[in-house]
Amino acid sequence: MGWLDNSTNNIILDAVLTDFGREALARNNGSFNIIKFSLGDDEVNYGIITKYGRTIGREKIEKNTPVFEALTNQNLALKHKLISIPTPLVYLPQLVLTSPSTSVSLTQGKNASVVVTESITSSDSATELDANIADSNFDLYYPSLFLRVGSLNNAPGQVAQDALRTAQTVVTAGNLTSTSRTTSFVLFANSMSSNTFSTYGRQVTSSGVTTYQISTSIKIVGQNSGLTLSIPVTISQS
Amino acid sequence: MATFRELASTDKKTAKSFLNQLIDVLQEDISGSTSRRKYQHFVTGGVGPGVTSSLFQTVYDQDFTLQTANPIFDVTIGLAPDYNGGILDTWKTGTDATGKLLFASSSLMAREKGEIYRQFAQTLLGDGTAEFKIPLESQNGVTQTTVDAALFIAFKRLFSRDQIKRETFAMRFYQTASFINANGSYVTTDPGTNLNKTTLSGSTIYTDINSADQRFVTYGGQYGTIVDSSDTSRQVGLMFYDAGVAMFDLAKITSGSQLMSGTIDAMSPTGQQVLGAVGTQTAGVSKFIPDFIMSGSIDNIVDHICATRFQSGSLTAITFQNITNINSTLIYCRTPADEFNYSSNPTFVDQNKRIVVIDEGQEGVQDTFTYITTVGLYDSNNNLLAVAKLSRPVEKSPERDLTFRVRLDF
Repeated sequence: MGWLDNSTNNIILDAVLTDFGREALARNNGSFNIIKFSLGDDEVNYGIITKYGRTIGREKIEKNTPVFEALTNQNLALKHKLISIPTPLVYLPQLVLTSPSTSVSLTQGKNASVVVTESITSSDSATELDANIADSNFDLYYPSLFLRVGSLNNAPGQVAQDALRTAQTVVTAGNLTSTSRTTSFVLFANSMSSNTFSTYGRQVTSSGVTTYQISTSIKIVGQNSGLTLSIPVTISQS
Repeated sequence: MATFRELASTDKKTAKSFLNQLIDVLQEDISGSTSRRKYQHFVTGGVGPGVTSSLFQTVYDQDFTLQTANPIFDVTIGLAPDYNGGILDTWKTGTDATGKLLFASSSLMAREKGEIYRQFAQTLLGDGTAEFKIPLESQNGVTQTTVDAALFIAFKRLFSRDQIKRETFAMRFYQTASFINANGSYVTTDPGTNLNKTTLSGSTIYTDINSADQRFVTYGGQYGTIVDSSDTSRQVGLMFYDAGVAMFDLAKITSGSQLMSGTIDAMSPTGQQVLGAVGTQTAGVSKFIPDFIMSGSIDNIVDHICATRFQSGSLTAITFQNITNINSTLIYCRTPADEFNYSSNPTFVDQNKRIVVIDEGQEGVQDTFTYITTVGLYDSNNNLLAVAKLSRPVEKSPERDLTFRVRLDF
């Protein structure tokens, strides 16, 4: 992944197909149909504005932020989307892992319930979610090599061609209030061979017993807001 | 949705453009045995250990055993099988009941040389029994000659792409084999074993200059005439631009009457014979055309042409430009002033989820702004189909509407 040459003022952007785009093109059934776009700012660190102020900070971002070449993995190519909100906001809502509190721990073959809440936790009085970015559905991305969602028998559906076979499913927000959205889902850890554990996991000793533990993560993205939360997941062999 | 914007039908356009690439083939790539690949498809039986040979050889840009090697062109020779009075017609000993030409065992691969000529004629001229002629169609004031012995250079699609560009082809070729004998003296009557000796002087540039003035088309697509650059009235070959094939009349690009000598493969007890050896029938009479062309295997002839007639230095031996036709979809991603002014980038907010680009106390006065580095193109199921990157971050604010022209090439 190299940087792009920014010494030119090229106004035409050359796009590259993602591996999913190539797959859709290969299907030759009309599934390759671009109908919308989104914008991203993965390389930008807005913390520079805090450090240098709005004037110099802007200049530093524009001139001193090299941009990476495009990635072809659709799950990695555009992570942080820009959002359109008609009403001016000072605080943005956030996605928070409500249950369990910090990370999900699973044993292979077992399941755990996960609850994520979207709300504004601000020091000012505004706590209502802006209707334009409140989410009714969330995209859940998970490594289907290790995990299933809803039931162990649920097929992962569309799976990316990456090493962890990243799959995507949609989870629905259950508790629709003016101040928050809550979604919950059940995460299952696949029963895996010792070889899979030794390949992807690390050895840990607990109570005198040595076993393997795989550390991975799932990502939940608000379909409307584009808000993202990455949740660490640990899968124990036993 | 707040993170996507639908494209209108007027936001998508198609366009066509062309890309030209300059291709240079070095002398040493053609002459070197490690960059020229042989395919031992032809095997004789009968007398001696037999002869194995390729029907063509492939020139690579480096050692062909390396995975990074790219094939540049295939090279072979052919003899006109149906040309009355031609070499094959003269040298044949008869014809069998099925119409197969018969030859003496000293005429190696004669039928294969004829079949290769026929294959190119069938593909490029539309008739396997036709002969290549220079010029291909009769023209006023130009004498049309039949190509009896042809050198075929078929460029790989990796380099010829959609077609070779007119008036860009040139080939540096040495018309004669070496004239240096065993004593190091320059002798035209007895040059010593010159089959494998690199030619040192007498190169000519063959080019398709002026082929853009008259654009001829035949069964095999567009073609032009290859001429001697020092005398452009001397037409020596044909360039088939769409097929990526250059065809040369060996009688015109070489000194066909030059005496040749050296060891070649043969249907003999040893599997070899020495052409032009003192005390043999061929001494002092074995000419490049027709003796060597008829007696040598295709590998012998292609080895000689590639190893000695292109030199072995680092100069350009063959050059041309190719054309790649590019079909593009242009997608206009229009971002109105009041959209895409917030970001899900984790650095966009502080620990309290307060937007960092608005100063404390300036709420309602200052506008938020974002920077765009990436444009993602999606299908109706939110699958990311294509990605475009900007060369630098571009600011987006409620005071700016932007349009990005994203090009998708096919």
